[in-house]
Amino acid sequence: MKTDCTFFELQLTEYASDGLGATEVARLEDHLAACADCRAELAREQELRELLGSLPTVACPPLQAPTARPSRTSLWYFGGGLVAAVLLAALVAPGLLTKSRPTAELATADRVPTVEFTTAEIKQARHDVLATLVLTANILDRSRDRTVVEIFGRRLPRAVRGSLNHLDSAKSKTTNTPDPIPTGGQG
Amino acid sequence: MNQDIFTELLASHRDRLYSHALYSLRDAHDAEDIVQEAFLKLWRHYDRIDPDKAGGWLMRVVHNLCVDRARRRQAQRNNLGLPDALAVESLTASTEDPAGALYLDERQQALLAALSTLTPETRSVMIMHYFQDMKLHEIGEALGKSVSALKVQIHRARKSLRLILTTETVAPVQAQRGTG
Repeated sequence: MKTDCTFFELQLTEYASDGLGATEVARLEDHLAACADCRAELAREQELRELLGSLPTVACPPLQAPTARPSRTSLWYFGGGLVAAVLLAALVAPGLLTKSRPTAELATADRVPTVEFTTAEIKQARHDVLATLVLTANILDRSRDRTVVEIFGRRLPRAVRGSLNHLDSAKSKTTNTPDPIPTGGQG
Repeated sequence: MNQDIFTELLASHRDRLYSHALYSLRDAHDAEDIVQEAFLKLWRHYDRIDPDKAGGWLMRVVHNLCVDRARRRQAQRNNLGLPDALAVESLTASTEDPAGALYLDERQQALLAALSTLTPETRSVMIMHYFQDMKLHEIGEALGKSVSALKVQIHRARKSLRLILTTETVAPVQAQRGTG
């Protein structure tokens, strides 16, 4: 009986909307005559139909209808194509505006030129760097009791330490002013 | 399809589709957006749509849009920890235009609120069948579903609305047939 009820309950929607054939209607009505549960289910079906069916149709607010019929390629495709064309032009145009050169010529002409420094220039640059380090050391070490090497300690590469020591000793020989960085002193 | 046919479709289906979206989503702004979007899609694709089938096509579009919108809103509410808004009040009270407010009786209000407990898709199918009076085979054609599947869906929805549908009238079968 339960299985039968499920079968007939599934037909109630169509039954209530006149969607069943004559044979199916007869069979269903025979069942309904004998089944109170299915009759109750039919009553709910009809109530549902009555309540939702009587809901009012609400007027839609004015919509913004398109005024011009789009072409076969819609505005979207047209717009996208336009953007693509602009991008392509931006990529290609610089090449079109400049004189095209063979690849080999470009390889040499656009290469970043190398700068050749003279030995004297390198020495001077090194001196300048070291002098900056000394000045920095003087600023850092107010007591001026320590050498640059002592201030920066082992953080300095060995070559730099050697150069600084040489600089310190050279300065002390060439100037009469007190060596700002005494060679000895407290650590 | 030419522009005249499009305009005719707009006039003949607009209110019906708007009402469907309104009862499905219970939000006038969402309903308006959906109908606008549906007709925009029709505008973009009308070269490919048979005018005789445009009504079903539009219904399918509105159904899908309603389902998507409802799912998105539910996901947002879940994320924010908000209860699902049984916003029947939004249908029955309009602060902007009191004259436009819907006047629904208590049973209709209760039923619409109960429909919100159904899945968005089932709710839309129920509104299609009972409010728009679409036959099951028409709904099946529009949504690409079988009549059997729709029968099961509606049957289950009716079961879950049982507490709202309290009519237990046991009337003679002959008197009840075809009154729906």
